[in-house]
Amino acid sequence: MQCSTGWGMVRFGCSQPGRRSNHVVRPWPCVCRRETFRLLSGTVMLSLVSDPCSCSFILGEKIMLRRLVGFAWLAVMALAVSARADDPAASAVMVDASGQAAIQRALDVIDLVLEHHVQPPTRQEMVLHGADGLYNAANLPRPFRLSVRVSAANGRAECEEILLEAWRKYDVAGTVSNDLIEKLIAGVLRPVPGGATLIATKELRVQEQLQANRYVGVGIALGTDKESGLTQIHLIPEGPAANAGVDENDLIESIDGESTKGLKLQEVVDRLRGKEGISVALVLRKPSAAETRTVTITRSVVPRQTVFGVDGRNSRDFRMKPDRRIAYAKIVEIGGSAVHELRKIERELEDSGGFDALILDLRSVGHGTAHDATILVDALLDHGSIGAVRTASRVQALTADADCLFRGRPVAVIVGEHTGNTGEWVAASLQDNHRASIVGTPTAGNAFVYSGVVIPGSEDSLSLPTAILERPSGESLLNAMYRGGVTMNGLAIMGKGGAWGVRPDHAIEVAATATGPEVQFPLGQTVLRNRVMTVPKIDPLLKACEVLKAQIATSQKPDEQK
Amino acid sequence: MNRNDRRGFLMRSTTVCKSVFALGLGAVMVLGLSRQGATESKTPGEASALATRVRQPVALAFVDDGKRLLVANRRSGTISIVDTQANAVVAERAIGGTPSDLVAISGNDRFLLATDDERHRLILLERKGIEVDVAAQVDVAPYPVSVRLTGDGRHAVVASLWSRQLTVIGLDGAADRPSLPVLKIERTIALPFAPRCQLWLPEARRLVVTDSFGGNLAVVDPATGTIESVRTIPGHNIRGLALNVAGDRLLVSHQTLSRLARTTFEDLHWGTLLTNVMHALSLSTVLDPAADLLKESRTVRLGDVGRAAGDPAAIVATGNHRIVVAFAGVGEVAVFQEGHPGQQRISAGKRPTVVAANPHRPASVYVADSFGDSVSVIDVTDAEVREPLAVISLGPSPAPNLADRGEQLFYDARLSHDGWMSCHSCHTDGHSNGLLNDNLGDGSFDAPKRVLSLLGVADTAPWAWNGGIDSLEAQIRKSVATTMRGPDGTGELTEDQLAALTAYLKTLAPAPPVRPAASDVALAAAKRGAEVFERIGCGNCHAPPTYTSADISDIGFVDEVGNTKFNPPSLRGVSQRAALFHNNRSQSLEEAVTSHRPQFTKDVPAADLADLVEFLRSL
Repeated sequence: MQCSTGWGMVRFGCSQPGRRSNHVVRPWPCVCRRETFRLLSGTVMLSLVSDPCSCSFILGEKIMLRRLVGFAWLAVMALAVSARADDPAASAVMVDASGQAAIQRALDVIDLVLEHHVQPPTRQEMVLHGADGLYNAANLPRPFRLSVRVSAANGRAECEEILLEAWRKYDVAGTVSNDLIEKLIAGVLRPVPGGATLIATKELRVQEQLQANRYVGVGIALGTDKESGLTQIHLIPEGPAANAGVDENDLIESIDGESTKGLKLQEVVDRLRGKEGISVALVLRKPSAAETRTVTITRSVVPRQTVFGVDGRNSRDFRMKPDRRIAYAKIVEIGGSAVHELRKIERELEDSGGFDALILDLRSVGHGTAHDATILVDALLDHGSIGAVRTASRVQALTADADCLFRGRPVAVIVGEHTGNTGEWVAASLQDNHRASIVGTPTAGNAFVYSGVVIPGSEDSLSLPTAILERPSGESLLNAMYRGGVTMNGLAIMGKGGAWGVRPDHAIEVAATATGPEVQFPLGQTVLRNRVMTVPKIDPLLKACEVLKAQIATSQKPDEQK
Repeated sequence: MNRNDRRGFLMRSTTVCKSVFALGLGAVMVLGLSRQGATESKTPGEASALATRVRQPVALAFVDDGKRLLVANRRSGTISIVDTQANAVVAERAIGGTPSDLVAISGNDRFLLATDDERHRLILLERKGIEVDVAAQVDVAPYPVSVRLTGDGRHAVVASLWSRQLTVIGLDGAADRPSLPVLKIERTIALPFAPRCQLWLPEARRLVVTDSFGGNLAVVDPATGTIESVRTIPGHNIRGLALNVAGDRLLVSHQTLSRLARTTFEDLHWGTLLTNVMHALSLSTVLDPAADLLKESRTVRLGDVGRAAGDPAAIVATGNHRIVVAFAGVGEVAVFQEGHPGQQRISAGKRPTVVAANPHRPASVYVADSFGDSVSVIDVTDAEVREPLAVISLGPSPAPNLADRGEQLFYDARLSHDGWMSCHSCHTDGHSNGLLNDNLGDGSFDAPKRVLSLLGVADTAPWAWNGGIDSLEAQIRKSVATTMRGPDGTGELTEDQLAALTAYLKTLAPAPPVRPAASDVALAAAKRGAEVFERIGCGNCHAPPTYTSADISDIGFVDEVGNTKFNPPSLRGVSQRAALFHNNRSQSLEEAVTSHRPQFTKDVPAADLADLVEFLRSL
């Protein structure tokens, strides 16, 4: 069974279940989810494309949407799929051949979960849910005593038998159905705490490059010019293309002598990719002009700004308006360059008249590696506990080394419902060490760390929670439902209970706006909506300024009294 | 420099830091001392006839109102005399031994002081014009590496590396000839670390002394012999000390190595693993023993991502508020203005380690290149400095031999990705910065280990904490590739580079003990300790004469990733280690002997353990 186009992109569910997301989709661990989102809204396709990624995360809009529409409901709803039983005499051999390949894949995935997940469910749980996925797909009820049989199943062979039986109910025609494989794997992964997703290994490598901020490419985002139908360029600041003299909105006529006319966006992307140090020649023209020019771009590391100023994306104004003595830095992802960028920001602020306090905005940080987050917390703490990283086999307690950034200045950290994973761990560490005041709304409560593990003999990897991030106080950051193992892939949760996530020191009330259709999950119990938009009643930035000003005033008072 | 202060010169400070070269180097030229005169004599016209030799300049001293510059050459045991108007060497005089530092005695252009770290002496040099003679010498604490004068010019303080002592020497004149200083040892001060750099704080009348390997910084009153404070800056490899022009900040150049970072390409690339920095400490904080040393401090990161500044060395602050820092590892100096962004970088030879500003023309900065045997002159009057005004050759050099080439590579940060670090950045002067580093030495990350000393490394096969590497060449190759992530471009050392580095490492002798057992009592204790060592079986793994063995054994420690078996580190020079075991878990030898293999020591009487420690200290 070969990986078909898009297989690597199949997302069986948002791996951050319960996320009250106002985005249509937040595939994880796509470090460029913003770009992906834009892709969906049909405006800009980012060409963060590199050599190792021939199966880019940039897919045709149609494929993508189909997957997305599909996945959200998979976990809870039996889709009415008409059984393709036109040819009842189809060879049982063929059925078994296709089924066995799929089931071996599912069992490989189960083994990986057992080996790498920080707190894996039992094999039987995953098999039972996998079988459920297949029976649901065939619109059949679960067979009698299936749970009992699965509970008694030992090892791979018995589990295989159970799954194969379910597979035959559906795939009587013996046709390989990617949909069915998806349903099987989706079922298998459903009881995995924190969720797990399949991802093309090549895409994983791209994401690792992005995480390390060592992405190799030409540094352009692509869109399509409606008038000419040509590929249109959106520049990534300071990228190789920008440095080579390419202008914003230029149209690409040809790449290395080959016309782009009639090429799909994906094909253009493929031609722009290449190894570091290798050049590509583009013939470009301005949208309004006829004359063309040739620009040669050498592919190299595309540095991305991951810490932004007050004016949004790529802003380098790190001072609040109008409180210019209060600095502002929005970390959009905690990657390899985060500390370097913060150091530069501190230096710039000091060299341009100084500053009194800092707002660190973590509202967008919902993924990353434990290592990069550890390095960030160490850079912000002068001493003290960073917390701990719990993996399947050990707990690694971490402490900060001496010296820190923004020494002696009050810090306010803004968090929100999208602050999750490493983002909420960073906020929790700063809170427990009294290094920062936390302002905003409660965080997601999903402090897992996801890693990619290659599925043996395939081009895919499994991205799954391999570690839990623990705050210095010892309290769990995880929402109870993630601990237990029931995940609600792709669903948002209305209402919450218990202490988890980061509780802001200065909480801001929210007005919740429910959107999306209602769905009952678990059946007959809670009414959920797939998307919930929450709007803070006051701007967290204003609140943070207020908090910091009060702290500055307090710290200055003793001096005045002297 | 106190002379400079007294005369109100603009130059507020000069470097104190010298490059050090591993002890035990074979090819040390020892020239006879001569009261009668120099063994060589060159008039300005004869400068072209300078001998062909390896010099390795390590110290600069201005005399004759800045018209002449004296350069101490460590390997050749000579003083080069430079005419600063012609910017040329006018003479080279032999003083013998291995000079490690040189200062001019304040208000007295005739006399200079030099340290000799091989013969453990402070030497008084008398100069007449371009003639330099040894006038007197006195034994000081072993391995003197720097000498500074107190503000009144009446005392010199010598810092001795391996013996961890300061020697305070009176310089008052002789009764019959008041202008001739008589070297009189007044006191020694024992330090809790191996010192290198010194800086006299004129207003406070205190001496700042810093660690040669780790991050210790001591404030000492030489007049009373009191150590007022010993604190640590978060860093190591402190190679430059200076006061800023305003006199309110102590500038300290050093490196930092993060225990939490890994030796991945990314962590090195983004300056997460190792950084090259200058801390501008508040002087009032430095002088207040109770204060947090970093309070009110400013951090200036030297170099940048993509173009790092490996191994920052000497610092000088010039009158026009410029700060000049040598980047020894990448062969450059940086010029920047206090409180302003931007660092102008200028090429300054192979390994610029010493920087001094001419007291009469403070915008003229002299930079000694210890491997290029030259001195660069840099004019920092203008903001835009592009290249040195002049490069003064100290004389012809022979083609370096294999070990010498290895030494140059050892200190070369260009072997690493983007120039962040050299071998010396962690294995400071072949020893160790004593810090923990999370590298692939044990094949995986997450279990940081103490950086091992390379002194005596040739005898300690197999290498790495887990004893996993059988050849020194393989270890060197691995460290350069997986820790330094270099060299850029090829990613591989050439065979010649590998051979040279290996040859150099093989010249490194083990560190001497801090205090060799001297008294009869100590000798007797060490002798008894040797018997205890033998009796309880320490020698099974730490087998003499190298006090190590090829085995790996489980001594009851588990690292973070579950490794339990380690190769026993050699115990030679063990007294020089700030902390012990793979993760620095023990802070003293006393703690170490009882905490590891407790089954060996649990029944040993306390007196015997004390003797055992005394024995270990003597190794």
